[in-house]
Amino acid sequence: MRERNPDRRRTRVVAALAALCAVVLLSSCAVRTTSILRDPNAVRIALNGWVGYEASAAVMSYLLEHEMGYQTQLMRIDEQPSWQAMDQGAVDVILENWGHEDLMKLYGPEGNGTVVDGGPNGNKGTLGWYIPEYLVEEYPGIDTVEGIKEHAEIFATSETGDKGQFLGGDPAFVTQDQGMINHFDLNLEIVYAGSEAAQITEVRERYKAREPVLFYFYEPQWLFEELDLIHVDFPDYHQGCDADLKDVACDYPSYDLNKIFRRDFAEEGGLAYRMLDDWQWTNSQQNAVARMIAQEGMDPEEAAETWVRENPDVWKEWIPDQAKG
Amino acid sequence: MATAQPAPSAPPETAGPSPSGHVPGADGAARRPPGTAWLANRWVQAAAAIAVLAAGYAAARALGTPAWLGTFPDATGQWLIARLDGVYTWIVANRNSSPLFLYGFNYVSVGLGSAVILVNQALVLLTWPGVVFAGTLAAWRVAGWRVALLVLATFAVFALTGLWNEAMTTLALITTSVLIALIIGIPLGILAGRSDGFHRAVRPVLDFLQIMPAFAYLMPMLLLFGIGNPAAAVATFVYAVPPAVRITALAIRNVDAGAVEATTSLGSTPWQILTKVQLPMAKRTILLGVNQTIMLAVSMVVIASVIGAGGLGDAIYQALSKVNVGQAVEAGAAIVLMAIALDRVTGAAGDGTRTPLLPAPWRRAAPAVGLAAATAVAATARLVGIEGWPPAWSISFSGPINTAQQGVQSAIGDATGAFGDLLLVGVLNPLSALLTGTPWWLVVLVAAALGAIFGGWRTAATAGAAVLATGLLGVWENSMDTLSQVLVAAAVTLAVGVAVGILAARSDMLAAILRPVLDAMQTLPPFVYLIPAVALFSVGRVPALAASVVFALPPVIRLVNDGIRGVSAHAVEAAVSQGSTGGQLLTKVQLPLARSSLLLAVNQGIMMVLSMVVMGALVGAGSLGYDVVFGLKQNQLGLGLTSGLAIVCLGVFLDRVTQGRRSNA
Amino acid sequence: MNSPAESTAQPHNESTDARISVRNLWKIFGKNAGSVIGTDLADLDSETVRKRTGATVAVRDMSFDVHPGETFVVMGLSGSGKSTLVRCMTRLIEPTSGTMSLDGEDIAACSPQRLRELRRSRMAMVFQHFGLLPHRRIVDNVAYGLEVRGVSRAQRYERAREMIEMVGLAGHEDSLPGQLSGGMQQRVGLARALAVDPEVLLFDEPFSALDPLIRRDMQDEVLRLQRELHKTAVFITHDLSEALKVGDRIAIMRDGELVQTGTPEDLVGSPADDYVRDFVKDVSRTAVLTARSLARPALPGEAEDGPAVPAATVVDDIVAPLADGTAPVRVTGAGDTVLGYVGRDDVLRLIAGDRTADAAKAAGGQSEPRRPGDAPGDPVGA
Repeated sequence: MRERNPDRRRTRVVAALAALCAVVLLSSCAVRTTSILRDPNAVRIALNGWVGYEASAAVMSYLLEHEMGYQTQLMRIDEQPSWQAMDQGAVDVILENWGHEDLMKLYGPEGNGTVVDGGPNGNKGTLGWYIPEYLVEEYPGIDTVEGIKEHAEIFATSETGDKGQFLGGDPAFVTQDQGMINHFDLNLEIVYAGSEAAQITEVRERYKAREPVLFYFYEPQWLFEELDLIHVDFPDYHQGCDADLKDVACDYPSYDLNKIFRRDFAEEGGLAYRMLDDWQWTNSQQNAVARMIAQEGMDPEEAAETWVRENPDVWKEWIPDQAKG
Repeated sequence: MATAQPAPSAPPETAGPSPSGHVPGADGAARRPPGTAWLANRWVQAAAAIAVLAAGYAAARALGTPAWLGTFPDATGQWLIARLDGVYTWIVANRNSSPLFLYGFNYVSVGLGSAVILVNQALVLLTWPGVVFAGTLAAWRVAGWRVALLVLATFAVFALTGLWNEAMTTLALITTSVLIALIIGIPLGILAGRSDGFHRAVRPVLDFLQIMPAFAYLMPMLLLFGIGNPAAAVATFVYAVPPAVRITALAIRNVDAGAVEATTSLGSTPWQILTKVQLPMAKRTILLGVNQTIMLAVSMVVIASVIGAGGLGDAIYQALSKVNVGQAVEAGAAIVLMAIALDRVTGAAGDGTRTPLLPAPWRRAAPAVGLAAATAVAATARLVGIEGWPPAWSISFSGPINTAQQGVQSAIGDATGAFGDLLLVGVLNPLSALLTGTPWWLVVLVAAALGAIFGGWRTAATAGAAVLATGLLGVWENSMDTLSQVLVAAAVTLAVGVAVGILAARSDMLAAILRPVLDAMQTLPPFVYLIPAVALFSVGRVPALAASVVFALPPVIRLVNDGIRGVSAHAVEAAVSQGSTGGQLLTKVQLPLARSSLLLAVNQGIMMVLSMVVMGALVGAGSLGYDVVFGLKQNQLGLGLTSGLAIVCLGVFLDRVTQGRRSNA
Repeated sequence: MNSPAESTAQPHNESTDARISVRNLWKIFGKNAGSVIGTDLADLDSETVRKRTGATVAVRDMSFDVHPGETFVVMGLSGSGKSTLVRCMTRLIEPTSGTMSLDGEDIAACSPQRLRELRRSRMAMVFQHFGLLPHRRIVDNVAYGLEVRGVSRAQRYERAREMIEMVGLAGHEDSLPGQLSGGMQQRVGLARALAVDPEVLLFDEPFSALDPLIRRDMQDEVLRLQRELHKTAVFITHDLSEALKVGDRIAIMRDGELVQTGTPEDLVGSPADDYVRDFVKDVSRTAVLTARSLARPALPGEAEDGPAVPAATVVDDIVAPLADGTAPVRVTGAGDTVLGYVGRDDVLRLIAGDRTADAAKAAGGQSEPRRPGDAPGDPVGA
């Protein structure tokens, strides 16, 4: 029916009032992403998707909660989005950062100024190409760029036809594999596993069948506890050799992994910040916790508790004096 | 005395042959010859179009692929990606300074983020005995004691698997996003139900939202609304709102026009008609929309864990990062149960038949009494010191699941691996080579031709434009590769789905066994079976294909089963009385008469497979899906969004071509 | 009652005593609706108009009056535009042009608010498919019109109960419509229309969805209520026997046009054209024609002391007095004036005429298309 609402005038008045209210409201308070409802006593830790990171996060979270009386919230997001989250004020700390100079430029003091470098966390990170150890026995010298070039075809699968297959990992990781393949003229084709879980499953299956497999991987990683894997040697990284990602003449750089803090957290985070700032540990310490989580199937919290119980002299160093009671 | 006289001339609406008096089977048979000729004709045409494609491919190869026979020029795509990346940079730089955010998006994100946290804290405040009590009581009130028991069992699983907190986080996110979806979706649906113009305007938007892969809009959400709960709530809202709008519009439109007319004739205002007539009469159908909205929200919150939403989805990721299938299945089962419980409760609310009868004075008081009782339980629990479920009280069945999975793996792994290789070399590779190696303009023309053959000229224009658009987006090769994977997966899905559907339609027992299995398959987050698929088929396109087949099978099986069972019993009876064998009955009566269901199954199967493209990328399917994931994880808005849009374009192409056929039938 | 001279489809002069007066009403559906009226197209038949403009003429230049207390039946086959017409009268469908006035006020020109007032208090409609609200109790359905008018709950319930009682549904106040049979539901529809105490009742094929026996009951019910309440009614039907039974006057519509308007007797006795003639062919004329139409001066030597019958008596009802004696009956008008005489021969000739028509139909009936909906719908008065 084409009738009009008789109450139309009233509706209009109401709508006008509502609009006015909305305008007043809006103009009176600009909202920043940081104004989101949150527990001021909670430390929000970004949780990137690999187990080593999870081990660090579990131990930090355990110490903050049980030794210092904070609450913690672990937010599982990928590397790059966690920088964004920090910029938006949704996360306070990244515990294990791999490089990302571009992001530091964007969000750091030179850019938005919302994040600060928190210094090394003590872990050393290595990226690169890996093969199972049994391949080296079968094809001596295959753990070098020449060896790969010579034996590329043994990695062929039905996905890649007559080319060798190079198994990529999680899309979140920064890679230069195609540049290395181009530069060294390797007869390889990258198959992106699309997720670390898929990649590890595939490597495990190949390993079980003792088949050839060549893949992108990194250390520290718990899978090294389970499988014997060898890093393939490429010419060492030097500054600028990875400038053109289409033509990379060197291996991945190795990283001194560092912490990233939200600037406001670094300024106002109090004891929690001081503890995280003081914290540093080694690859083998991280691996000890990661192994419990990944291989023994322990709950991360449980693994952290076990480690904390067994290593008081390590972590006591990190706790600021005021918090020790 | 005879009064009403035969009309001098038959009125137009009674013209045409009357079906009454024919034996339906015979009727069908009588119409078959021209039908078959017409059908064959179309398929011949389609085959000819494919042959042209193959010829083009061969020609391009023979001529050494000169530029004009080659792949799509990517200049437009590059331009677009650069623009989108520019938008990204601008947003990052201006998020806390531009008025657009200060007075716009930030309001939404802060409001939503806070709402989710509030709901979550309310659930925490209730303590676990309080939540269990309130949930079970509400389920009993709405849906009777059977559903209440199911809800109780669901809570028990949350608790016993140690996933109580995660389940509550997920529940909070679902509650918030569903509420938002209903608050916005139902009024929009009402508008669309009452105004044809608005309906026409809103429909393509809903189509777009439903074809757009969820992963592709996680990135813009994250950018506009902020990581974590806000973006997750908006993404879940966007994913779950279409059925709320669509079904509400449908419900309003389906309200008996006579009742609306009668009440109009009594002088009702439009508002009175809405509140006194349309809404009450559409209530049941609208509740069905609410049910659908909740189901979609459940499946989306799992995906939303990628952007920090936490909860049960997070538990799945956590398990997957350790390649622990058993743990992933545990968390997946919790989600399946949550979905089934929510479905049964809201389904019963819409149905209304299983609501227990209360004596009249109790009816109004019931919610208040229930609330008071739940509060009392919660308060008691807090006094006693119970809050969250103690972790020590949990049991895990992930070990046996892992063992079982490994058992299956070693038993059939070799066979499946070999089958996968065969599929790859024999089907996927040639088809992908054909689509990517043929000159792009020929592919566009053939797509348009297929549209014309199956749906008419408008479909042809849409299909051609959609395929062309994938090229303009700069992702031609990836689109063609993805298209090849989708086509193969859809073919496998349909072959298996139709076969199983037919079997289920012929055996009540099989149908009864299948029902809960299909329920679970539909609600189980695909992440859970991605890893077993990799173990069986090794990384690449084949496990992705397997996963999408598993995902797309349930609706196909259901539609085929329902279609065949829906065939008129009279037709079947007539055919049997004429001595048809079971096979004849199937091929000559049931399948032809169930044709519209079968065609809908084809359409749905293809669309479901398409929606798995991004998931497939997580196990090595590459192409468009990989770029969507890559864009999300590496903050490359341009790449992620263009690839996502290309998936939408493929969806439009496939949908129109298969749907045109359906509406013509 | 009208004289036959008035019973054409031509526009009348404005008649002051009419309750409803419809003048030059057009309803054209489709995009080019406006481009037909007042042009040459208006003179073409509907089929040609559709071909040329795509517009469908549903009601074509109709004019008629309905007098207070009268039951005016519009009768036609489906597609003749009769339902569109009745909807135009309360603007459930907006007419394309023309005027409809209710007691001199032009409905077509009134504002939405005014239209709503008219609908709420002065005219009410009864629908073929009832249009009840399935989620409301009977009493709430009946009270609906009062509810939207803003009548207090107690008052409207009281009125609704009265109406429910009047249509014979006492005891069903708290039932839901789904729990009642079709006939009972239409009684609710009737009670709902009567509850607002309108001056005008519009019936849109109210009984065509009902079983024949129930339909007859409902027709009797309407006749009874009309006798008691004297509402002005416009009654749409496709059933000629129903039209003849309830109508004071009947308008026959074909393809959106008025073919003939008149009393039942006018239509049966002097059909305007072949269409109407074909329509009324099967009607038993003895049941429709009255003594007045057969009345003739006394024949020489005829007895003039036969029983007296009022002029409005249908022929069927004078068979008995004729059978009782040999004298023709005296047809008396107002004030017992004798209008003329009807004898046995006159009645027998009429009956013979009916028989011949029946026989002709029986012989040629096979070739005529029969609308399936019409066939079972006519045991009334058989």
